Amino acid sequence: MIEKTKLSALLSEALRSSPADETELVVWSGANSLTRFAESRIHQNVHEDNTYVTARVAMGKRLGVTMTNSLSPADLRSALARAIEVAKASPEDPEFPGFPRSDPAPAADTFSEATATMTAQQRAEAVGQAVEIAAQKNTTLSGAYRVSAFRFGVFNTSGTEQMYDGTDAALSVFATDANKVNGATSAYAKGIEGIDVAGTAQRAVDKCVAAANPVSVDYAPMDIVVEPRAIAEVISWLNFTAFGAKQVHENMSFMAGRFGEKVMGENITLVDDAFDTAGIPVPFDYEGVTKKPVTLIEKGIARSPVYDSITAAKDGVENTGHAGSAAFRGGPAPRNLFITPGDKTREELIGLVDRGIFVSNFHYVNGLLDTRRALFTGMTRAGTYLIENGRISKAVKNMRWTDTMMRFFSQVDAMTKDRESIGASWGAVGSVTTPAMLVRGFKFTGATEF
Amino acid sequence: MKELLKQAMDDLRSQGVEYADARRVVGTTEILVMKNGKLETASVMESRGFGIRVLAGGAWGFSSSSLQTPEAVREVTAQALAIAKASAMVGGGGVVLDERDAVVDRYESGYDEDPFEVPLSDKLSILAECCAGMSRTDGVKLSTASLMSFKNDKLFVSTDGSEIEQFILETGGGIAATAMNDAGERQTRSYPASFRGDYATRGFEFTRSLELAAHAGQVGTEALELLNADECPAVHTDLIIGGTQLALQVHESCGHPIELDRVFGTEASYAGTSFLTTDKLGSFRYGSDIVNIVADATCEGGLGSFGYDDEGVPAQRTEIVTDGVFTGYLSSRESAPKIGQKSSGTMRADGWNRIPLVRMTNINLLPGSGSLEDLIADTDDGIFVDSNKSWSIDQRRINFQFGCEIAWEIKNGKRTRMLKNPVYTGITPEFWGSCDAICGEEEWHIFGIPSCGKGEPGQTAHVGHGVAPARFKNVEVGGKR
Repeated sequence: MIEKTKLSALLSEALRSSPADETELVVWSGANSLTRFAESRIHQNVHEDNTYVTARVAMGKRLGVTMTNSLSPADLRSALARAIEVAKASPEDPEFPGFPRSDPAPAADTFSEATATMTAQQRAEAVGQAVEIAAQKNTTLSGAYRVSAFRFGVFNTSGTEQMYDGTDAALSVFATDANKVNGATSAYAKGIEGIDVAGTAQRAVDKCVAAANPVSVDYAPMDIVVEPRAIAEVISWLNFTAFGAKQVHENMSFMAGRFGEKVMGENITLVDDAFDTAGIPVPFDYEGVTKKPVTLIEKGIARSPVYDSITAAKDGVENTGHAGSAAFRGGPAPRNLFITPGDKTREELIGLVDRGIFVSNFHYVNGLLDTRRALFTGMTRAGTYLIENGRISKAVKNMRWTDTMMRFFSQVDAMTKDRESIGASWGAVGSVTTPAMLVRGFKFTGATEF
Repeated sequence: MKELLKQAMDDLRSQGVEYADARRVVGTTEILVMKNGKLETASVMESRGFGIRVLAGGAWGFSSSSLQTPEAVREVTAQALAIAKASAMVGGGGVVLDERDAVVDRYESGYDEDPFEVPLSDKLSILAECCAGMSRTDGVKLSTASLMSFKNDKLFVSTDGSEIEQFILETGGGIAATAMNDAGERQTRSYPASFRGDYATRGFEFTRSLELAAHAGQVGTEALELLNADECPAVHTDLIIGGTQLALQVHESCGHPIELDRVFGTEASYAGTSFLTTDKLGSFRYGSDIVNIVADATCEGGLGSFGYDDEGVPAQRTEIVTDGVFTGYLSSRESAPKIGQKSSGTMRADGWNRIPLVRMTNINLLPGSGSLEDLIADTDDGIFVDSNKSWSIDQRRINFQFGCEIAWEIKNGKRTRMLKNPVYTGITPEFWGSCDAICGEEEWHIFGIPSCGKGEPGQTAHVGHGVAPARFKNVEVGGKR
């Protein structure tokens, strides 16, 4: 990772020498390491040192973007020259409000030294510990242990200068028995101090053991008790289709045209709060704007999407600091989401079900069937059980479901008081912190062979 | 850099590793997206660096860096070896590679017109014309036109003595019109395929040949017609699947399950394993007698074509399904020997900072005979679907569900009313077993998909699927839920 003052000097000099009307430089510099295991053996083990610089320039209201992974002054000059070339050839964007100026973000607890210095040997020792736990129950383990350490900065000619150091750590564990039955769970935290390797492995193994000898169940709408990992997966899809102002402007979001209306149950409140340490703090966005908390859903009522500078200017509202990378223009998106918890334990949720399904994980969710209704499909996976008379009675084979998420979150009868932070599946630092839920009448629409 | 990497191979050989290879890659990507005539994305991304993969003590280690200095090469070499030694701590290694002769060669994909040399203004004119063409239809609220170009300059060296240089150029694009009504419903129609179009290992001449602007008017019209179309009914019926959707059907239900590393469980915790276990090879009835599928990395222009994979193995053509019987896998130097074979040359990495994985090449459903119109004329009662909207399949690739942009009812051999929101679902071997007709060469086309995901950390591969429309009997089709 490049030293902080040196990085600041490089970016400042590149901004000073840029011939563009306005210039923005976004840099990510750091290392990713990942140890992957399958059949209780480490089969892939990788490390990457890299730097990305995204150069966005404005020539009047014409914008151009380039990305390079070199910090040499010559390469930065070249990247800026190419961005200017692109901008000059581009049509004007009348909605471009100029690059935003932001006050420095408050300090946040984002870095773990032990994570930044973790070695491949330490990761292997952790994986070895998990594998031993699995072997005690005659199961094998697959999964991945990933750690990242990075420096992220945004500098622009409007005066924004933001930089922070971050880490995160993620462990996924997938246990398999001799009959190819599975149980899976995961852990995610700012650093390895927050990863309970033994506990996570034990939970996956316990799920696997309990999933033995699954029976088929006729698929039909049924009550489900659904765990945080599954809920986080559908929330991650809604992040892509619904929660950003761009999706609202394009009428893709289920919330478009429904702000102020009830779109979910009264017990659902969904907030993005970048500084809440129950999740993973992300102090500012890809435009360097300090993040502000946003209530997306309040007691079931659609309140607001999240914004970046362009979408905020279009709607005449405050920029909430949720810009994504300019290289892809996917639009603003939340990164640190929280669902308000309930007051039950997991066992109490199960106790409220006469006949239903306990869902540990969803698999291959797709949220594009009808984004206006948030109609999703997916499978259950790795820990699916029948609930009878308020108790888990046996394992069941996995099922396909197809249901709208507006209905899903309108049929939540109860939630746990405990929440779990799940690493977001959108590929960047961020998380969804959610309780487990009891959802009535969830629509199962198909079955598979295992 | 070549000499530095060759020196690293010598150093590793002298330290007694079983095998090592190094790749230096310079990759350039250009993305242009215009919406409603406004340029939404205009970005050029370049990524340069190198990675070294080491097999020591029967276990793998990999490290990589964007810095291309002697110090970085020494550091990355040492890291890769240390990581391999750490890998051996759990499971004890055991990796054995197939035998290969050293290859010294240079490969360049063919092209007439370098997309990176085409003036940006020309490309933007194409996009603007497309947006204008789609927006001419009242009710089209969102017109999107995309062009993407990719350039990869690769150097591969190994302790086997191979030295391979490859230059691969890819390009393509697509358009999509989204119509909306006052009730808030939206329907999207695309060309030549959904999710940013069709791509090939060719120059900008391929993009021009798509004639995107010429199709813009029809795309806009069909998007609006979809808003007013009837809902697709929930029925069991004969289903004709058009090429753009069938490409994804092949991708999900054949392409991924034949990845031999997946079969051996390397992706178990992520996207899953495969129902095509090794005991089924050579005997399992995957489809009906007319189903023949090959993996062919040698097709000229296919998006999954190349000269050598990222283990230095030459591109090959492998029979996957022969007269309906499962006969072959996509494999690597590590996985192939486990079934007594040699690599089928499909190890591909998404850049210098990723290890190669077993990936699809061009997974092609071989053509049958006749035109699409012949096939429709031969169908008394059925539904014709095309253009993917959503996709989902279970962790062993058995139960799938696809949503499509558009459908038409077929009655008495004629395409009749348009239907919206079609969804179909099935069980993979039953579904391919019900295939009773595949159109001929005149309908066959290799669709390029530049977004195939696999692995952790995530990798994106560029793959192709040669398909012609085909018919499947008694498929469960559903509509709006």
